[in-house]
Amino acid sequence: MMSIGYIALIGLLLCIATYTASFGVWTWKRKNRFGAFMIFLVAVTVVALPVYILLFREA
Amino acid sequence: MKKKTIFGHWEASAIIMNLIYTKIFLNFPRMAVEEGGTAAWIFAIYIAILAILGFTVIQKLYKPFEGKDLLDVAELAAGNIGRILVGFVILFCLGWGTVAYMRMFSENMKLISLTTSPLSYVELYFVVCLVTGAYFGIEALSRLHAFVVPVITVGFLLIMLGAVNYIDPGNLMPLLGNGLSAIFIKGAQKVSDYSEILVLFLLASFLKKYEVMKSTGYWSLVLASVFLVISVLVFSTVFPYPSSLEITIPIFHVARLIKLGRFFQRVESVFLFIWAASSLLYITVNFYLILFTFQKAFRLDYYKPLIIPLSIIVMSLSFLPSDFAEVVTYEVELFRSWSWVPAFAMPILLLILARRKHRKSAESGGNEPQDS
Repeated sequence: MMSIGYIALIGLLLCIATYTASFGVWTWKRKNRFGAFMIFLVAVTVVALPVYILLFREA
Repeated sequence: MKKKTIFGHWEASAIIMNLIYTKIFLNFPRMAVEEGGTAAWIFAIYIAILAILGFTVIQKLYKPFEGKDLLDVAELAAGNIGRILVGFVILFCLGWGTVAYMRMFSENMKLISLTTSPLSYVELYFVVCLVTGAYFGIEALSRLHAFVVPVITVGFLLIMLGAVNYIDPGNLMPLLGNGLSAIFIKGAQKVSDYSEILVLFLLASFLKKYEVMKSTGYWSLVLASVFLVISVLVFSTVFPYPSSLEITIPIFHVARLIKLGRFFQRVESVFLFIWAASSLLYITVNFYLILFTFQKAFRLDYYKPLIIPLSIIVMSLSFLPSDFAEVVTYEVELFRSWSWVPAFAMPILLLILARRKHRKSAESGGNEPQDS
């Protein structure tokens, strides 16, 4: 079962991912498509990986 | 105008030395004993010579590319694709180094002094350090190395000197240990223990002059290999083979033996201090270089927005292996057997390709790359 701590942590990770994605959007607008793609990949991983560790590996 | 960071020979040597000899505090002496048996010291000297020979070849090829780092050379050799591919390879090497060492240091720290703390708590200290280091940048890190690395070196040498009473040269017999083929043929791939020399080729743009890069490489390789050989020599003379194979943290166990009269006991506290300092510097520099490579390979304008997300990814990745033994297996069996490919073979290949292009463009009247 998810505790309130987990939810807070996921919320924090989502904030960090949003900030990272906004840097990706800025890079995309400067015509650096591949750089922006890599930043979006980091933004997705920063949420997906810790959530996987928290929810699946700890169990 | 943005100020260009340039640092000197000593700062760069301190960074490379620390990156290479951090292994002393982890598992290098034991790994050397596993490879060479009682001849572990011969094995340590042998791989040091191989690393110096490898660097000699690379530095000779590097001469026309003064002030250019490996990513620039890759771009010259194979264009944007080359830069991105080499960027991925470097990111993998540095990423593995950071992730594996963070886990190993934290597990060992937990084993020795923070026995009841959860692993995530121990790792949090490393994350705080690497985030801070990355925010301050390479100039601050290089100055910190120039100051702290001599302290670490003195601490390490004090431990080695303190263990003199426990040395038994008879433990070095039989002289050729596990045999010539185990040392000189199978052991050759362990030159990967010097794969951190790759970092020097990333720092080339901060060193500016070719001569500085060359002397930095030789100084750091020679000094680091002297310390690695000393650590192996002391460890294998203090603990007889094969019981030395059972020791998890070799230099810590050497330090625990030291008792110099009534007042100089529990020298392992010195070990803990230098070990923590060395490991924090190792991880921080590696992490900064991950950001540097990411920025340069993918042509980003800034790296600072990536500090927090990449530090979280590094910390999460370090939790992926199920236990300490799994990390050590990957580190020793895979990474430390094959990392000579990106550290020595890849730069040689890239430099040969870039030189060929350089020659062709010179013949056709082009002027790139700059041969200054």
